[in-house]
Amino acid sequence: MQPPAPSPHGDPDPTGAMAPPESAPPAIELIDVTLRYPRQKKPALDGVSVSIPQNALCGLLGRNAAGKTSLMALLAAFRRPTAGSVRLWGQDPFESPQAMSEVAFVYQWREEGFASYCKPRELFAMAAHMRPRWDNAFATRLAERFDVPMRKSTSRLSKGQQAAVRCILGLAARAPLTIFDEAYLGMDAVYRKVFVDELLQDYLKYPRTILFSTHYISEMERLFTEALMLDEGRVLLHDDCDVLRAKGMALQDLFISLTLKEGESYE
Amino acid sequence: MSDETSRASQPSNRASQSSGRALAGAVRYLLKNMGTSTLWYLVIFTGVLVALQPLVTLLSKPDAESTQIALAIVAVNSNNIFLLVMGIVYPLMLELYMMFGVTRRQFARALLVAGAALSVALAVVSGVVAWATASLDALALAGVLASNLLCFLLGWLAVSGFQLRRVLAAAGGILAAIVMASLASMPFASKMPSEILQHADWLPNWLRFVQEPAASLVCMLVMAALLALVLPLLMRQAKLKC
Amino acid sequence: MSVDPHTGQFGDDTQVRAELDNDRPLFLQVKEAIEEEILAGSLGPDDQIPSNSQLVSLYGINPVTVHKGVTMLLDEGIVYKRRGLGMFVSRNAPARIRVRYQEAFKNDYVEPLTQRAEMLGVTPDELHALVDESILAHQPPQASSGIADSAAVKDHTRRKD
Repeated sequence: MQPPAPSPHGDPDPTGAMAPPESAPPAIELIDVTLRYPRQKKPALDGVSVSIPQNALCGLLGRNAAGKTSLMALLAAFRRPTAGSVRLWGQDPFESPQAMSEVAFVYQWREEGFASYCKPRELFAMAAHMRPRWDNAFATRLAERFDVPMRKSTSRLSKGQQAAVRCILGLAARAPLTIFDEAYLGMDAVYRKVFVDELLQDYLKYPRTILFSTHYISEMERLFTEALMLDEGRVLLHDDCDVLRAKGMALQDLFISLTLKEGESYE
Repeated sequence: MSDETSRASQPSNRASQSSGRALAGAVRYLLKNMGTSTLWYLVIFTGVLVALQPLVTLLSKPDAESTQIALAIVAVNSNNIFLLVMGIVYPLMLELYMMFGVTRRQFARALLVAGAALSVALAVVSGVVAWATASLDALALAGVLASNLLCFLLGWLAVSGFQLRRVLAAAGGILAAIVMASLASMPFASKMPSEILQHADWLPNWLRFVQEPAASLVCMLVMAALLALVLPLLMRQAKLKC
Repeated sequence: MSVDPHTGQFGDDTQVRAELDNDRPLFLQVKEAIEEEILAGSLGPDDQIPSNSQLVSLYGINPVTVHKGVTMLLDEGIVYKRRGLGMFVSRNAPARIRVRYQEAFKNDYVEPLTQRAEMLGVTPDELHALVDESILAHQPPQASSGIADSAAVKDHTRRKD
């Protein structure tokens, strides 16, 4: 089963066409997945089962070390589960060329890694070579919008500009599954708004499945159709956002009330 | 992609096209990248050689021929070391390439292709240098090519242990690389460079460690083939720090 | 939202309300925002409502949420669809919305008012007086001004209703 290709619309109301056909396999499926890191007693993910439909914009919420990045790494085929199975559009993504080229994983790369020594221009060139749906014109426009200097190596950019480069790599790739792991960390409030704006507009034109982890819940919760909350490697909650809101609580307050541990206080 | 129909059902060959593109793209980008590094290296190296040549002539035996041979040997060894360094550095870029949707296997393949291309290119360079100084021997050139490729793969072997993130594997990787390098020159370890310089009738065989070129060639090719099979498998186990 | 270049003060000249609460379903709020505009008269019958992309851009919310809200309007007949062009306000929409909001008026506004008054110790008579005062303050001034003035005022009142 192949993922649908994001394609541009002429329809003034494209949102109606965003829902995938009934028979389409879920974009993301985790079946009883456990992930254990070596020399660690507690598993990073413990018996997680999740199903996310195509073209959903799902928010991934969780405290630090709740298992968010581990989950995303599994989906991007950067890691393999210790137990259970991961399925993207019905396939196992690990070492699957089709799956990996259709997934864009945006995360904060290490400072000592090679990505820091590349210039944004080079990173865009790499994307143009290797990402099948890369839109260079879009990337260039975004780089201007975020004031990213293209010829300085990324290690010498400000935190916000580095975040912008990451986000552009994620957005302009137009991958059918795009995963943002706190990609905008470091951006100021204005750029965050610009990013959300660009994301929504592009998502509207080229629907795709997006998994978006964030700590800025109240700022970002409007983006999501559904929310997935993790706590200590387990699924706490996974539901449609408006259904959750119908209970009278904002997502942020709901999240805090569910994850606050005994002894901690929230002033 | 212009209308909604292409969105609903994906033609099954589209994804393989796109994944093929990732591999081809990786190869092309790697070649470009390595090519740039190589050009820099060649420019600097040639510059250094040209600058040092009068000095060398002054200090060593005033025998123009042996100086030329020494230079040829230096050229070949230097190329080998360069390729060794490339083999050490480039495999470490795995995570960077995976960020762009390239699988481990695709990246390993791309590295093999790029490494082979680079080996050929530098063998040609060595051949040109040799042509200027001594008679060309097809076998010797093949030996140069094989040693280039082997050096690249040995560098890769040395770091593959580090990629597995196990101290034992890292030590094992380096050890294995040293062992294999020695094996490559073992049949001829007794021959010191000075001896090669002294024996003019070995002019065609101006490689330092090649006395019986055929045996050495086979030895190197076997090891290279072995590594070309094993290294991608090791890369599959590489741990990423995302 | 615009800033007066002379005074530096904010003026509200938006067509649609740009603030949403996070503790109520968003699609309902989108629907209500459009209904409020129809009620206020800034969106009249056969006017085009903001497109989905515009609403997404304005609120910074998910397109599916916007779509849900607009679809609800469509299902209730408040708007109709013109293929290739977008959504337009139905002829009878203002009247129907007014009726529905009038029904909700008692629960949404009157009940809280009386409860609050009770809590604050405002007597029923005081409450009546306050309400009458408020009504008077909102009424257009009647006789004295010229015809042109009263016409302009009447126009203004009609738009505010």
